[in-house]
Amino acid sequence: MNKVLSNKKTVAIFILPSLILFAVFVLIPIIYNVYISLFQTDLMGTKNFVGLRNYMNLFNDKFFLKALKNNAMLVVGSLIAHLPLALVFGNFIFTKIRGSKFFQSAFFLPSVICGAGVGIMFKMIYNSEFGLVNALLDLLHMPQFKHSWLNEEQTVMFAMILVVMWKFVGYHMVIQLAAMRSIPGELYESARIDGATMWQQFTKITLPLIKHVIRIDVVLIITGSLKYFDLIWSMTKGGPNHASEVMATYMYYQGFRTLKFGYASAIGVVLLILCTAVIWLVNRLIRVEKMEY
Amino acid sequence: MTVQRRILRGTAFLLMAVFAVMCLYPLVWLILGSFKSNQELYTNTWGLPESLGLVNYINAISKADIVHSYISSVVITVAAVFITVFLGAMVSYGISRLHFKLCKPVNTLFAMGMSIPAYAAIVPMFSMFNRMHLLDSWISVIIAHTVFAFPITIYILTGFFSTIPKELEEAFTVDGCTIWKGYYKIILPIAKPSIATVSVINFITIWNDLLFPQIFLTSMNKMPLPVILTQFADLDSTDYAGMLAAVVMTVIPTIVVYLILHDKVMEGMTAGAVKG
Amino acid sequence: MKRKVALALVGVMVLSMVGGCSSGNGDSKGGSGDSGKSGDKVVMNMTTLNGGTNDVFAEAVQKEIDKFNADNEYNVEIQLECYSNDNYKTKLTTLMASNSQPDIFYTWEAGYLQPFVEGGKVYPVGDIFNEDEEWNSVFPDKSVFGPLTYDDKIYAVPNARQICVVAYNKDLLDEADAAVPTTYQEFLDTCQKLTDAGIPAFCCPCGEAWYGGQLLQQMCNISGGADFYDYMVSDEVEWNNETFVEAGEMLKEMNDKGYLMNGSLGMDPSEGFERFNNKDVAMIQLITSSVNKLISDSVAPDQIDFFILPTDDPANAGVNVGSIGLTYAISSQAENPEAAAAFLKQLSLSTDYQQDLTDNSQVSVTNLEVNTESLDPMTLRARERFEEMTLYTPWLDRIYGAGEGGEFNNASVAILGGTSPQEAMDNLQQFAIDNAKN
Repeated sequence: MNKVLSNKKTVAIFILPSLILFAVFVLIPIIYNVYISLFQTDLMGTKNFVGLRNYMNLFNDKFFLKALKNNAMLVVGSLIAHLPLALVFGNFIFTKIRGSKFFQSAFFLPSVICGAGVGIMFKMIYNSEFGLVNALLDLLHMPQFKHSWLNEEQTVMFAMILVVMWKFVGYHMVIQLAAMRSIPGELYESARIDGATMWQQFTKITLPLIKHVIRIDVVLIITGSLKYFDLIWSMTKGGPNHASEVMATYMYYQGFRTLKFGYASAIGVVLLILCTAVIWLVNRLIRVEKMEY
Repeated sequence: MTVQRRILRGTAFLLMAVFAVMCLYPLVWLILGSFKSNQELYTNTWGLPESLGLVNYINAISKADIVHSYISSVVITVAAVFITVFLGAMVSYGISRLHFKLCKPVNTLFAMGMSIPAYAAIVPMFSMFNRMHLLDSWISVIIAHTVFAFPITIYILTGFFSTIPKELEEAFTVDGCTIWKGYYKIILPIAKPSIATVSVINFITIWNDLLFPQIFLTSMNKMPLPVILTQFADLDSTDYAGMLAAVVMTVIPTIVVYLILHDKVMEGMTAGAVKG
Repeated sequence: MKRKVALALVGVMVLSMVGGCSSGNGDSKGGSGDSGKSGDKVVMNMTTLNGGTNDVFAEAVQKEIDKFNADNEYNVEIQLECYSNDNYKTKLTTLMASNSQPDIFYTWEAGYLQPFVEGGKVYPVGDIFNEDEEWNSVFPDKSVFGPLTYDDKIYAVPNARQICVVAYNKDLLDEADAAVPTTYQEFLDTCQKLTDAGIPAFCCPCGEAWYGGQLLQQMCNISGGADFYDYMVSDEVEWNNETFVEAGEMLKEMNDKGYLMNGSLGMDPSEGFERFNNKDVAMIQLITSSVNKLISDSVAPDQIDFFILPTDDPANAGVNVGSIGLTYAISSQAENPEAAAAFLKQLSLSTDYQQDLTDNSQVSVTNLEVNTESLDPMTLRARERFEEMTLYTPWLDRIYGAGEGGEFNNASVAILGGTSPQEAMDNLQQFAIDNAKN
């Protein structure tokens, strides 16, 4: 058996194509990125070796620190919205509440729209003159709460997080739902016969058996929030005055606008380290045993 | 059903209904708005448009290359998803089931890929594609998407493959099957739910991606939908209603594709649920 | 089932690769610097902006390209690619960084072009320009090349100029019994009269930060004139210099006294124009090239006129924010820079092109005769303001580039948001110091 499974030719065919593609198009650029982060360069003429100075400057850069803080807020907001909400709704649909099919599609729809489209939509929804939000506040006789949501430094991040939460709940719900659906129905039947309540079924059967998917999902949520770019750039470009800056937009700005590619690469490396640390942490905190049933 | 159960299910329904409204209303508002004139948008934000005039849509179609961009999006996304899943499943299987020395490092390597933001790799990738003369060709975008989709695909699929009992391979090799046949005929069908999930995840990410096509493609007629959309959203545009029409046009096919794909995905997922 | 789907997908994939490769020219040229060949001709690529107001200018350039391609002595064919403003900045940077920049490209002046010049990516078109009498004689005012000159060499050719002006609605001013100001003090009086009459006085749509920046810069011009401008663009500039803070105080004063329209802080410029067109506000600050936005059904054009933000000190009169526009440069990698230069020369000398620009509210930098009769009176009045200019002070975010320039704009928005000018300028100075280290 072992011989078959370790046959060199088989291994090569299965592993090599992807590995080579990945190494060439991802690993090499990343190594290049790390290399560049040790320089001060605009990738054209200037190239001065500065060692770790870019990293030290990063931690004194108040815009970068703001971006870090914003990313943290995004991570927390996303975790709150996308885990419990997605699980709860997923479970409702799984237990076939009336209209489940419709709800499933309705919730999933927002994640299907591209970031640029969502950006345009919400720019108008948040518009201080004819936007939906302010019009709603008028309707509810609360005009004192009206703001120029995307243009005031205090409100912009809050408004942004709501949009991100809106966009991806359905997406994570579908992932968890798929996992729920792979649990054999007999388990629930026998539980029901034994008199288990819905809540007990949820916590004692569903949750443990989809734990491995929840773990994947948590990783997706956190790394996604740390790397997020599209929506934020298309709504505010990190503004006003860097109030909604996140690491990704700041990195983009430092690279492609101010041409400080060395500095931008350093941000990329910090992002890389953070994400790796998160994945490692999640893998340790959520321990999953192999389920056989 | 007991009364208590009824109340609980009723509340659940209510909660979902509220959330469904929150999900759908922006889209409804978007569609209604796209039929209004700019003036109407200011004055009549909420209500139904005066007329279902297609002026905005005609404007939008004439300004942008919508048809070509639909085709671009479909080609890029379908090709990239297919290659990613095809190769990704193979690597995942290899990592989790085959025995070779560098198993763990390879796995870690791919996992690290999840930490990498795409724009970190843009400039070097651009140089590489430039030297390979792949710029302004869909291939560069497809390759870029594929390699960046590997990490999550492999992470999910290795997770799944490791739950399959080891006896399975023994079973079919004893029957004289090669690894290949066994992989295709037995392992993959069992993996349908995970493959479906991974396909959907990748489809959405790639379909909506803006950065790679923008950087690696030059000709406007090869640009996929999100890029065409940003043409509308740029500075100096007072034509909000026109913008809404453009957004609706780029969103509708996504929705249609989703509705079609969604059935297949559900089919795949429920089929896998029946475990033998 | 899966088999069939798989086969179908493979089929699509193959078709797509074939399609992707063969649409466009045989070998991909996407900005790859090495020009491909189309038949016998050498192909050169050119990039410019489109989207929004830029569409008309892209079309105008395309017309010139068609003319050039039909008949030129270099056997060259130019192909134009257009990008929207934001996409373009990223795209050009990427192309420059991989040494595959387009043969002819749209550019902004001063601090924007400088890194590319220093990186050796730009062809010194001045070498050809200076030798060519026919070409350089159509530029009566050579100072327009100032922001495009590095190390005494000219690196790009402009086609238009733009200044910052204040548009006002005569009817609204009359209603408030306010006069058109000729000094800054009169300007404040006018704003006060409008405010007293319940009419929002001034709109500065800071949804795009540079609107605030340009107002702040204009305040600097009013206070410090030409001398201070020299200081602003010198290496010794300190952003918390007292004149900067003074200008910041002037900005704050306008805000505190309620002269700025409600919602200015977050307002999109296009929205600002709509409001002005709706007679919701009496004055709005804008660039001359956006004057064609002020054409609307509800306001008759003769109600609208313009003035340059005036100063109390006559010595500083005519020092106003303004610069060149529609500038093109040639890549140092271009196979045939002479052909490229010939095209740029054609643009400068083409009455058709200059007429297109004029029809769309641009003011030409050449002395070619353009027909201004077909222009509406409002646009003509805007053009007259150019005669008052004594010194063009380009926007600081063009001089200093995205870093310090962008933060200058942000500082102005911060002041309007309530930050004290001293603090805002101190922050800016600190940023400049830190930024220099990166």
